[in-house]
Amino acid sequence: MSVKTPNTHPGISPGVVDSSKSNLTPNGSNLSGKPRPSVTQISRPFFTSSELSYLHSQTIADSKKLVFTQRKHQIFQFVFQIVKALKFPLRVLSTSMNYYQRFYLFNKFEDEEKDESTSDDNELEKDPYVVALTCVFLATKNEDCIKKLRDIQVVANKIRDIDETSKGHNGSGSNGASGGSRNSDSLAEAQRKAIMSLEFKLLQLIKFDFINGTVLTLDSIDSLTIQFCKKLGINYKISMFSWLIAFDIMSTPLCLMIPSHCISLAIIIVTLNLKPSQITTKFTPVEDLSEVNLEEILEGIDCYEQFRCPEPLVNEAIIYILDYYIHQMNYSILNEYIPAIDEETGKEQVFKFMELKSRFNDLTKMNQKSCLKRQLLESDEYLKVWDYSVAMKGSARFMLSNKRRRFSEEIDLEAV
Amino acid sequence: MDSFEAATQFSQILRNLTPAVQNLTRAAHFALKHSDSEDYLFPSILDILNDPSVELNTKSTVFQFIEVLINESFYYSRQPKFNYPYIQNLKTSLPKIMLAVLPTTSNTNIYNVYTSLKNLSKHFKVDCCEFVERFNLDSLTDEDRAHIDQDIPFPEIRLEDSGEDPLVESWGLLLRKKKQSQYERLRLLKHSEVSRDTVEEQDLFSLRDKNDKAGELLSKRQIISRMEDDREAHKRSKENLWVVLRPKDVNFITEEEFLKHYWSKTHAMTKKQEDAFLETVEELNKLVAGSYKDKQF
Repeated sequence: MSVKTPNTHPGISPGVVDSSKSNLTPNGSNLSGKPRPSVTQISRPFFTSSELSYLHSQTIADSKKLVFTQRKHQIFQFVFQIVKALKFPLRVLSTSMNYYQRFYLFNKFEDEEKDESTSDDNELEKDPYVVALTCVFLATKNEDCIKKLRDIQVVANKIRDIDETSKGHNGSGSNGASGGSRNSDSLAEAQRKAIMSLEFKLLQLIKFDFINGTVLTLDSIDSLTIQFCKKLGINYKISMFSWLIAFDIMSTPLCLMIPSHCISLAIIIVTLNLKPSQITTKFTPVEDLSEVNLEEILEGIDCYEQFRCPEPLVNEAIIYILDYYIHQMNYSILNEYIPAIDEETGKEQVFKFMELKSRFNDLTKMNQKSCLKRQLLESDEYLKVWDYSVAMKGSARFMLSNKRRRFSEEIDLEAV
Repeated sequence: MDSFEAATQFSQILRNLTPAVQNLTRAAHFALKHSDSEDYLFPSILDILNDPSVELNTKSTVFQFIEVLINESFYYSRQPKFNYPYIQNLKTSLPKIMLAVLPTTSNTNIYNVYTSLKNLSKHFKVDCCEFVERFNLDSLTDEDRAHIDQDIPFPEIRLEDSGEDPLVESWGLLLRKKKQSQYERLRLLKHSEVSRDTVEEQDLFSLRDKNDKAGELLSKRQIISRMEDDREAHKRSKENLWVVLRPKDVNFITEEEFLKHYWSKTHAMTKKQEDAFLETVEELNKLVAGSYKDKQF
């Protein structure tokens, strides 16, 4: 779809904001005649890599890029601990990480050391750990693994060794209490309030889009990958290898760029190309003993016919996955399961990924023509840092792009 | 804490039990922590069930607690320190316990007991498929129907020493209870007058009168709190669908999780499922296409 939309009404290109004009909402102005701020957005759950870097440039200062990445790893480790303690399936982890990354596309990343003088109620909302808790909380609901917020808080604060009962809480939450605050809530209560307020913000950022490319209609990347493996008749060992990649990739921003079915297929294509034989598994089902011809399976894959995966998106994901392992092999879970030195080539594993990437040089990747010029990005209202006051003072509406026809009718009515 | 103190405290815990998972688990852990005083603690459970002043709601919660306790006892006993505490005692008394939770014609707890019994059967490796099937069927015989026509009350259900496995015996009891409730319902439909007047809430839900101390009927507050509790119990039963147990000492995902929750659970799609799947993905692709500014496919 191009920037222009099929209908001729102005201001309704994909997901673009129509701000402070009330003509799109029936009750857009209040009695005093002053227009209330009004925004209508069509959810765009996926961004191109240039859009992502543009969004990050607005929310993460250059000096904080490193802190952001480090913090992200700590936070994801923390979320994994919560998921483990509450026995959630991995899809909760996956969605939480997705939300966390989405949150910092539209919110400034602030990770200040605690400053006594500026303590206020909002301080907690800026704490990435509290943001992460909110993401877990919303993810559990969306993934139908309901837990009380209180239960999540108890587990999370225990993991971080925080005294929940401390009173007079004033902020970042990293060390619990310190005096001199007007607020007399216990930390647990202050945290709860911050999470409830953040949840509403997070909902606006995901544009109340619970499909989010995966949830409900499709399984998450991990399950989908195995579903595809079964469909292709891939054996236990090789499927396990794909599953490990899926786990690694879940935590990357790739899930903000490419829908899960394309990522899953890309994972399988990478796996089949690597022909992993040295992964160590404890179990070996009988059917694994008979030889499978990986080449044959690979040759037989038809991205669109079999999986409805548009090829450029799969290609984009393949390159992303290879790049990920080329740069971060040592931090990956895959690394725990394969020998450090590849037995066949006698080289480190990372060389296999590099060699594979060089073979994939001429793939058709995504078209980013409209996202390369900063000017064009700046003119896209969807990519602006989100203004929460609109929803508080006026109206913010969100819809899915496939439900837009309803919306067009409404505009026609307005035009009359 | 000596055994006597532990028993007193335990009794207090049981009296204040709510069906929140945390609460049930905490009580179970208390019992297991003091499992060397089992001889003192176990009778507290029976006492509370036989105490006529204890509400039926609480008794139902205690039954759910028993399920959790058995569950946790099996789990604890993976460590050599524990040797399946409470399990033998509870199992032997199960039929007696059940009748205490489902006294005379009061069958409000029947569904909770059924759910718990189903879960317990897994632990004791008792195949309950047949029982489950019978539980969900209409079990009234022609003879029963004749009795209903004559307005004869269902015979009282008593414990019989059948020498069967206590769990199987419990199932038998439960099935008879279920039959009793079907029987009594039909009898009520047949032999009670249709009321054309406005019925007070009090009568409609057979609420307990303020002066009635017998405790056969429930008060409005009790009914509402029971609805809350059942919602909690339902949430808990749903939890069993998604819970993933992971080893404590490993800090990343394990092959066991892959084997149990992915490899064994996933099956190749049938043609019909596949068509539905592709259709969903096509719909999704439209959303995806609308997400990017440039044409991708």
